[in-house]
Amino acid sequence: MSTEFWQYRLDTCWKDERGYHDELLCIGERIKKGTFRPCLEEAIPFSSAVGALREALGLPYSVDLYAAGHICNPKCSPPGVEYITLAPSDVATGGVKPPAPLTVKALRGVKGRIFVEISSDEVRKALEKIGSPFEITMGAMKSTGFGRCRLTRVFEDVPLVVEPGRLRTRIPERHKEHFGITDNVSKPIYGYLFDTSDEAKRNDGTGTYVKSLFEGSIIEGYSFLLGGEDAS
Amino acid sequence: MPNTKSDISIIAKLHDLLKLGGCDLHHFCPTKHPKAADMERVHPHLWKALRHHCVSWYWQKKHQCGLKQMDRETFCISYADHKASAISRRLRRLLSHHLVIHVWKHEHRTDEEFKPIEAIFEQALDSRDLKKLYSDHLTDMEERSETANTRDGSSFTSLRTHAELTASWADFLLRNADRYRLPVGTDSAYRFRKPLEKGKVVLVRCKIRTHGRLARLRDLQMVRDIEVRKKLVVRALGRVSLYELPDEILIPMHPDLAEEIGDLLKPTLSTNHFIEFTPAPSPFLNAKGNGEGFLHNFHTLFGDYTGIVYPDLDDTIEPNDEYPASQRAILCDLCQLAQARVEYHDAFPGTTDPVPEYLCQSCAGLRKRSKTRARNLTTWERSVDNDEERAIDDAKARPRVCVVKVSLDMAELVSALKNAFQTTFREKLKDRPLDGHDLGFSILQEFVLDYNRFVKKFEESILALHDGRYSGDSHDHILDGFLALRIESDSEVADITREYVKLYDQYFPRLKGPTFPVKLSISCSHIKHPFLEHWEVLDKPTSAINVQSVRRAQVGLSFEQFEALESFGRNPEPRVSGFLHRLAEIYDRTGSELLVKFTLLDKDDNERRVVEPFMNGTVNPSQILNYYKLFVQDAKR
Repeated sequence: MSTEFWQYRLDTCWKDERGYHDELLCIGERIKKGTFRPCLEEAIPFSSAVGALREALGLPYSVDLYAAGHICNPKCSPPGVEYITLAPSDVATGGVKPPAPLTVKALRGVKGRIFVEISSDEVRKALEKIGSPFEITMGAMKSTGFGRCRLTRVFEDVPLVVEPGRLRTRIPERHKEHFGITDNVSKPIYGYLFDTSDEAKRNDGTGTYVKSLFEGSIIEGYSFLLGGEDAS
Repeated sequence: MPNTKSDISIIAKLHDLLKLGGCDLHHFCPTKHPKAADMERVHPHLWKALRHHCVSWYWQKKHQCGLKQMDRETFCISYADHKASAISRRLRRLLSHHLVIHVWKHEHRTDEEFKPIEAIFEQALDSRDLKKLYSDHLTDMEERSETANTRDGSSFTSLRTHAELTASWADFLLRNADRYRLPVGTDSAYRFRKPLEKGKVVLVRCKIRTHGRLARLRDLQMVRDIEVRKKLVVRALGRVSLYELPDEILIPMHPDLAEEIGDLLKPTLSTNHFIEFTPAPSPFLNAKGNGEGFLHNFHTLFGDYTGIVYPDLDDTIEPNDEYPASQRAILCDLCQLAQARVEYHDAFPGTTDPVPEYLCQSCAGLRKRSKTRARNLTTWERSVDNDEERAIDDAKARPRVCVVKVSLDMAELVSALKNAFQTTFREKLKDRPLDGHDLGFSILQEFVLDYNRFVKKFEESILALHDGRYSGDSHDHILDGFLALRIESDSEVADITREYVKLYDQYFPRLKGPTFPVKLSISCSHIKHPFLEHWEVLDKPTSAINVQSVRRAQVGLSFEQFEALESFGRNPEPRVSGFLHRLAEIYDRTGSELLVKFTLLDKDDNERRVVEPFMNGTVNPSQILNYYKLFVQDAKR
């Protein structure tokens, strides 16, 4: 099967038959202990996108899914940054779990792009079945109501041109070839993403962290995942 | 023979000592001094360095006192002097003076003169300790320019910086003398120079970076550790550095070694640091025809870093039965690049920390040996715990902390200095645009020396404020230019900021924008507020002056904007809070200055006076409101 990507526009602010929605998105940086939880402002990592899509599409873990994206608000209307203070409660005691209160940084008015690889017939059928637009829930604090987004398919060809440039998302190294990333990674920025695709680990109720290329890496890969300014 | 590092280093540093004497003849040919024979007898090693000009055929011919035979040390110092000058004199034919010209401070120095130390030769002769001789004259060497020659027109580097650079080059050449096949024993200058004609050197610019994820104040140790890493990197890449800036180093390497640079750097790293680097290979001599010459590609060092080195990282990190911490968190909570292995509890003695952190061994070690603990801050926090119930109803008992940080951005420094040179020497440069490589590292080094003095002075000034209120137990010195102060109200930041502006005017009066490489960040909050939120502002300052009271007000100002607001701050109008909030709300929601001005049409003169800096286009309404909240409001209470 030749490589094909479907492109989706991501919005946290939309109107539908139920009314207006203006949701908060917190793709949380993995910070523990601290009472302040920052969030990503550019990348929509592979792990977040795949996790949310798998749930929305109802795809089993046996079906491989590859997706990633980035936040791309126009310069004149950047996402609003909000700080929400929460006190997670302990179900057993009814009290507040330490450390409390917890302050979460979240984004409002996010516009982004998510690219899904049509890696198998199952993925194509699932995407066709769900249609466009559809809703996903992505990122942190989902139980508190964060992370609802609407994806709308953009019927434009996604050019599969391999170019050098700055990566705008987070991709596990083991899946980099799905995004056209060659071995010619001139300046990697490494980190780890959570991966639940390993069946044995999933059965344990745990997962594995996999070495990944983070935003800001200088790579050769598909042009649709490149761009932005070097924060360093 | 001086064959240890310290020997060659100190005699090379003193090679231009006679420049301080003001007599060109003695500097270029010390044999002409009446006490030359004494010097040769008393300080034979220093004598070699002082005669560094006698090595060249030109001076041999001119003075008829040629040094026909020389050893490695003599040749290397002479050669190092040439290489050091080539870096220091990249900007030529602009301005000459015996006093060093710092473009961030001086436009010219025509009204001042360097006072020569006429007895410098005798002082050297009488000195028993060359290191002491150097340190005794360090201030003079910081004042004297490396070259006052009008043909050079490049008096932007001090003798001190040049001396240190020469010492580094000499050290590098001596250490690699066998690799470059320099003659052993004594030989002619020609035979020493010959093997270097085709020799190459690779300059490697390295920047040591941290992942920047700080959960606690003590995690700043990883910033402090950069100094240690720098030493390890220098040791790994050949033990010589040409320049050391706060987080950057320039290292000369023999081309054979430079091929393995990644492998050499890896062992110097832990998961808290990684290194970016750019290598630039260059021949020692100008080659004919192909455009290559010594540092012909110097500019490539100033571009984006082309390489990056991480420590060895695992492809996957899985829970490990051996370590309970790994079962709980898998990945280290702090660096997030290694397996969690240690359960870390941070608690006051006698209490239990309810939420442990799961750290890798490297991060646990970092926490353990951290010297960036704010011991006083911990005491303040505890005193608040004890007084919490009493304090809760007492509006005046508002124990607050103010974190002050001065930072230097090297990339912006290059840009600011280029602007300063272009503005100062517009005519001589004939509007030729300058690039980063035109500056070389010498000028940056000069700036860093001045910056360090500025930071020290600023710290002293803060501790002396309000009759020393912040001295003693009311402050923590976390890093250089990084203090935590116990304050009672946010408006206390006003005096700190004013002190900063006053000192900045003294040290960098000609560096007032549009780029600000030196930035002040102040962040205030209740004492118990998590450090991470302070760090968000402290780590990435955007303006010359950045002040925030966490989640209450935040303002970033240039010096011009600060000055404009100060005229309002010194004579604040009463009851303007609501008015300013209204204007800021209109501006924030619409982004339109016109709508704000329209709102002002029916306001009285007093209210219009408050927003004068806005009306003349210096600041926006939000900046006025935040300035009011931070600098004025509490002070009025």
